[in-house]
Amino acid sequence: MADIIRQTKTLSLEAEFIDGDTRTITLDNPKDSLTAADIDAITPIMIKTLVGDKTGAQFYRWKTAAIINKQSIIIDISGE
Amino acid sequence: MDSYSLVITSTDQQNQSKTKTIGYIKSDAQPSDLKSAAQQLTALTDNIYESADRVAKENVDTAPDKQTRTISGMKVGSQAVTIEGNTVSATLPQSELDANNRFYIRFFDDSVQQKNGSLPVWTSDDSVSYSTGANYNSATWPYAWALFIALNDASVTSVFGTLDLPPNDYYNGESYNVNITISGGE
Repeated sequence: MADIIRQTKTLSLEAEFIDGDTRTITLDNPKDSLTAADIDAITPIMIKTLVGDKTGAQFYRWKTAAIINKQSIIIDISGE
Repeated sequence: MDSYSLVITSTDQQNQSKTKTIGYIKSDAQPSDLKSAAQQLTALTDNIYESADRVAKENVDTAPDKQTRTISGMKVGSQAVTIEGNTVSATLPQSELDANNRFYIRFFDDSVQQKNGSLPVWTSDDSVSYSTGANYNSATWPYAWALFIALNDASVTSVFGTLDLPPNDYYNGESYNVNITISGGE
């Protein structure tokens, strides 16, 4: 059995609330074509729905957005 | 006042169902708005939206392990973990999975009560689906954070993932390999 290499890609969105609280939302399999406009476009519905953890403050903005690519190597230690 | 989280269910390109907990939402949020939020978030991905659910905040053990800035204050379900270097191992009885094949990875840290930080980032291999859960660092549960890990089906017997703790006031940017064995399954 050989080593297993796994590639993962996630979208990391850091939400900021009006009291300064932040929360990171991660979504897997983000689209390759995502733009800042795509992220901005969902702001209104986040304002209507999301609240912060600390004081229940209203969503303010997306502070950061990043697509994270990660490679994991599961080493075969079975000796087979 | 009751608190709720938004849970999104979607299907990936391998036709595997995934659930994702987005975190706290307004208690009076309209179902149509929750559905729209779920759909718009899913539309940022290649997954296919299935459903949106509002889940009430659940009780979390608030007993801190008095471990500051260290992953050793962590439990998988109710089970203690073994930490060797940057590898965390645990065995979780299948009986601890809930009806949706989920379990919690919970963190205990005295300093969390002071301020929120960015949530840990969990990534795993394709053998499981998962959802990054809500931050339970609230006035009610000041010491506990939780990630919800949702298995894609009950036949999964092992979970391998990486846990990245973002650098902030509580974590120093540590990264851990996490191996969890589900015992008692088929």
